Amino acid sequence: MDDDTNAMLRLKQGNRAAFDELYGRFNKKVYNYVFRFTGNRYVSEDVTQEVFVKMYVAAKNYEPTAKFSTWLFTIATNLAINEHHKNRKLESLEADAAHDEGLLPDDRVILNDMEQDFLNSIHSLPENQRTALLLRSYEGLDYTEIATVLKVSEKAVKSLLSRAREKLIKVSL
Amino acid sequence: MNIGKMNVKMKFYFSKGLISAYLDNELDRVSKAKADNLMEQCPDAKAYYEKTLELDSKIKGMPEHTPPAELKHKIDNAIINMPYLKPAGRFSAARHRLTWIYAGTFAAVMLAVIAVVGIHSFKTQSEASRGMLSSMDMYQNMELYKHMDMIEHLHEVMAVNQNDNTGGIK
Repeated sequence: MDDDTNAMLRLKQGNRAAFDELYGRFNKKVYNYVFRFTGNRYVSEDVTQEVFVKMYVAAKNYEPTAKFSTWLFTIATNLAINEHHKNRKLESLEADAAHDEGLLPDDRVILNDMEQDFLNSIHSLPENQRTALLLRSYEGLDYTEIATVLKVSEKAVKSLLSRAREKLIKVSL
Repeated sequence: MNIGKMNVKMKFYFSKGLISAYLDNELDRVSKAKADNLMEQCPDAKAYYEKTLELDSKIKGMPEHTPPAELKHKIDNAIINMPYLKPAGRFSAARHRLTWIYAGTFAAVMLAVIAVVGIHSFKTQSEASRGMLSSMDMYQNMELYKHMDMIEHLHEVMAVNQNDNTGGIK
């Protein structure tokens, strides 16, 4: 049993220190994953908060059937997709307003133009391709784990990744 | 490829999925050998593989941001403000034990109350029934006295009548 699963089982037993341990190990990963997915700093904060609260709540029913990181990124992906859908309309309204006032969106403050362009290219991918690519290239999950997160077959993961790469190579390299 | 004086350019059609899976190290031995062979012979496949490598390192090289420090406080507050979300386990087992202790105590108290009330009502009933008996006795005695009075009165009436019949001569 790996350290993460072990910590989660301790949290299940009511060990609060185990929660802090897992937060310390995964907060940056989850935050950056959600940021790459949504491209919005504030949404990333909200989603990261929700992910860890959900992790705490779900601890009582946690069974180590899958790798802990797969389980956590499944929660993060689902919440990020939900939140992204909710905020999409709002974001476009805010972007219009910011453009009218000559302001830059907050996220551009922490990214240079090249990084922002690349992030925009990633955002142009369909959700499932984007998720597969980020989980593989950024988080290092294997095809089986990505298939678990996306609830698709490994063959579908292979195809999603291939199409995502093909598209990104065309637009950004 | 040179065939005599002709320079024939070989055109390969390669699967981008194969290259992508090769990059991810998700191919079995046979497919991996096929991909290796393809990249050796096909410059386009090799170039595509290099581009996927470049893309991959670009994604990995994206700057990492540290979440704001107050995020942890927010999470802690969210958890504290939702006490019903405490995970199961030690806390829950203790809560279970307490519930059973409370339930047991309550049941014992209820039994004691029922017993006390039962004994009390039994006593009251006995006393009441005893009271009823004594009342009945009194009633019966009264009836008896009444009868005795009536008999006595009857005797008197009879005696008077007798005197009347005899004209007062005995």
